[in-house]
Amino acid sequence: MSYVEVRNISKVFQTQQENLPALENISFTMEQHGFYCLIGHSGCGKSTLLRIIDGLTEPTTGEVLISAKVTNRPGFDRGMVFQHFNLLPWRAVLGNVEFGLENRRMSKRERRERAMHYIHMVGLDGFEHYYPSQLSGGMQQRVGLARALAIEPEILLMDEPFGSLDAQTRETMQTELMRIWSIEKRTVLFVTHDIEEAIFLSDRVIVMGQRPGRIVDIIDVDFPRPRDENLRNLAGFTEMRGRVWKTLKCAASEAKASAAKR
Amino acid sequence: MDPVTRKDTWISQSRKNRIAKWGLRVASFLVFLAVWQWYGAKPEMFAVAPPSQVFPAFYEAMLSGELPKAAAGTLYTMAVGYLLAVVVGIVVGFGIAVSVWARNTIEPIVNAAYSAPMALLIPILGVYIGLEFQGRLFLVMVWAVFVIIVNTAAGVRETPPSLMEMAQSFGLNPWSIYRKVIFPSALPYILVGLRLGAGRALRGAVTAEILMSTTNLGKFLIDAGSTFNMPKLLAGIMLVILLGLVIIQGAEYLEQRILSWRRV
Amino acid sequence: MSGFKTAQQRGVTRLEKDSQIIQGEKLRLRDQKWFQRLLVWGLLVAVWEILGVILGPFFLPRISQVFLSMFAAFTNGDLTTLASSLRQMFLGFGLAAVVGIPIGLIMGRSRWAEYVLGIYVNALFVTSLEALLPFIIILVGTDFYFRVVVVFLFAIFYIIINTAAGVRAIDPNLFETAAAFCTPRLKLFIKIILPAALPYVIAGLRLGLGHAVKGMVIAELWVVVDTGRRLVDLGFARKLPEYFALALWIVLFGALANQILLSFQKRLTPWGSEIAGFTGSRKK
Ligand SMILES: Nc1ncnc2c1ncn2[C@@H]1O[C@H](COP(=O)(O)OP(=O)(O)OP(=O)(O)O)[C@@H](O)[C@H]1O
Ligand SMILES: [Mg+2]
Repeated sequence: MSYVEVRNISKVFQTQQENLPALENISFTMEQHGFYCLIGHSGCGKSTLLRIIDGLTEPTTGEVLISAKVTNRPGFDRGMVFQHFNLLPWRAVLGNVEFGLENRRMSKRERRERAMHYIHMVGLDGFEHYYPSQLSGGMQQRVGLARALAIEPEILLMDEPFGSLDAQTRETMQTELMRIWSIEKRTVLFVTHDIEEAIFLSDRVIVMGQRPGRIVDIIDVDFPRPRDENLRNLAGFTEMRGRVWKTLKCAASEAKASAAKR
Repeated sequence: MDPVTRKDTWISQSRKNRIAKWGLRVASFLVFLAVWQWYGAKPEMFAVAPPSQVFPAFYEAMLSGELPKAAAGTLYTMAVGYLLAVVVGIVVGFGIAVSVWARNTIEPIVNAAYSAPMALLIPILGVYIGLEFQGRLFLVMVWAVFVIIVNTAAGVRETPPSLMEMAQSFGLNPWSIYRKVIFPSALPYILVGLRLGAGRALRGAVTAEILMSTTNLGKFLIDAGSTFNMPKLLAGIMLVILLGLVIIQGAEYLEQRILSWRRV
Repeated sequence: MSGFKTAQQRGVTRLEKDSQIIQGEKLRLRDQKWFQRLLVWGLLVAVWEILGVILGPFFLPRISQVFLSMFAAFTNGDLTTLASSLRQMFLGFGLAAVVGIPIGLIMGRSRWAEYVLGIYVNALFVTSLEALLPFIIILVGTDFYFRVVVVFLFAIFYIIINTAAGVRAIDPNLFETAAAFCTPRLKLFIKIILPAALPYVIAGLRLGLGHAVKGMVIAELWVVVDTGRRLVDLGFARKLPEYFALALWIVLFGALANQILLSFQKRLTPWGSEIAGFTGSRKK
């Protein structure tokens, strides 16, 4: 029995004009402490899938099982890093990171220490009392990351958490995330557009096609860990990148063809 | 040019601007006073008392306690009515924003009342509430409450759904979502409503005292007017204008203090 | 703990439901706007009617009587009186527009004008103009001019402030474009500034009109003439159905005039969206 099981999820959005099928028949499983990447074109339903797993949206059909139990509401076992950060503008960094902890039974001091720990971990020391509007996009994203990490969830759902970082910071954060993940074992579902990032980080890459969003390929990545920058130069890495790229491209042209037919 | 000096010139530019701004303001005020004095001192201009008479009259009325006592009475009515309006306004505002039923049915009524002339109540208020303190209180309340309702509802409605979703994701119950997300997010709007409401409450109080039951500042003004004591009348009006300015400025100051996160 | 979770669950479904309503899913009857209005407003009318029967016409007129009196107002002279009041109101309001719009345009365009005039406009904008009544009455008497002046004062500051805000909101690129084509000063005002600020100007006119009606009521109640006199008399004699009817007519005329201005705005400025107008809230 897998730790997380996503079973036949479909989601149809009802809009004024039409019924928009966003996800169709999505099924996959995640083992405990695994690192999974979700990759796909913009608008293929990655965020929607993550929100369903987090319990923020109900799927039209299908269900999500965690430890063999059906879940349909948010819980402390899952932490979400939002694509658009969703920071509270009236709270400084510290307050935002503490936000998720305020519903847990813990003393004020403990909460503060925990928040400071994760602020340090994402490299924002010294910015505790800055408001989100005073931070760059990448820094805001890291606040969102610290907020999710701070509740120490079993499962981390990360929606393009490095999307607005520059290449250098992005690599540092990737290495940093690998380090955090190897110390505090979590099950991670990580959404990205970046093929290299997906392969570099994950045990398994789930490739999604669009219109409607569906899984087109699942690729196991079994490069040994710990991985470092040299991995990117290996022949196997390049080959895998090519494979993912081709799958994505095929899915895109298929979608185009089916759209043309309609 | 190196950046430091450039910055310097920029600063001195803006300082020059500030000096010009305040210089102009003060100068225009002095000109205004001078014209008023010249105009009011003309013997045929009976209705406009010149500042040389108004300011002493103001000083005297303040010193004798007549004006402070009148103002205190007005402010007391205003404050109590305003507090009522705040409580009712925020509760109803939240209700309208949260409940689809209330939005569809009560909000049109609120909007109609917001733009209707509330003074229409004055001739019949005696039938229901009486013309004395309670009546004035009621008038202050209806003068102030609708702007608070409308702004509160707008603020609650403007709360980004993404933030509420985030709060749900972190396991907040609905009550905490209200307290930690919706309320702070709506607060800037609510405070605007409260500030405008404070100004309107003062207007309501003065109107009630002039049109309904002649007391306090209203009585002061009407007495001065009916005895054609122009310096005293203008002194009273001056105080009303000052009170309005102080209330609005104070509310604005508080608003900025409370919303300090927005200034950064 | 389980109670907490169900509450939380309820929160989720509520947000979901809201978003589905926005998405225009087919609504159940009890979620339809007209149904809710029919039910609640119908209930209010019914309660009013019943209360009216219980309390009697000296305390609360039945709503059916009020409606009948609204029709009677066509023949008993009430609407004629109201029309003459409104005529004076529109005179004061028109004057406020004629004076206020140019002042607003200049204040929005020139920083110096703003420095000089800004404090007075803002001070009077927040002042209880009602306090000026005993002064105005000595200044201009109780006749015609009194009401015109009061209405003028009630309306003009909304017009000035919104017009100025509209001019300040103009995209600076427009001025650059105009400068690039060597547009002379007067043409700049007529061809660029006025149309660009027009949605705000009309928003100011709408707010000003609402306050003009308020000013009209207050002025007439105070000097007891025309509609104000009629209201005072009716209130004194406790002819409440007639009173409510006349008050409703005033509110309706105010709303109607507002709607007319709104449709003007839609016709004159089809490119602009509806502007709520500046009532004192600061734009950041
Ligand atoms: N609340 C909603 N109502 C209607 N349609 C929606 C809603 N949310 C998402 N969609 C639609 O579902 C599809 C998938 O959206 P989603 O945000 O999941 O994409 P994504 O894969 O995360 O894209 P990106 O990589 O750009 O973030 C899109 O076509 C979007 O228009
Ligand atoms: Mg997304």
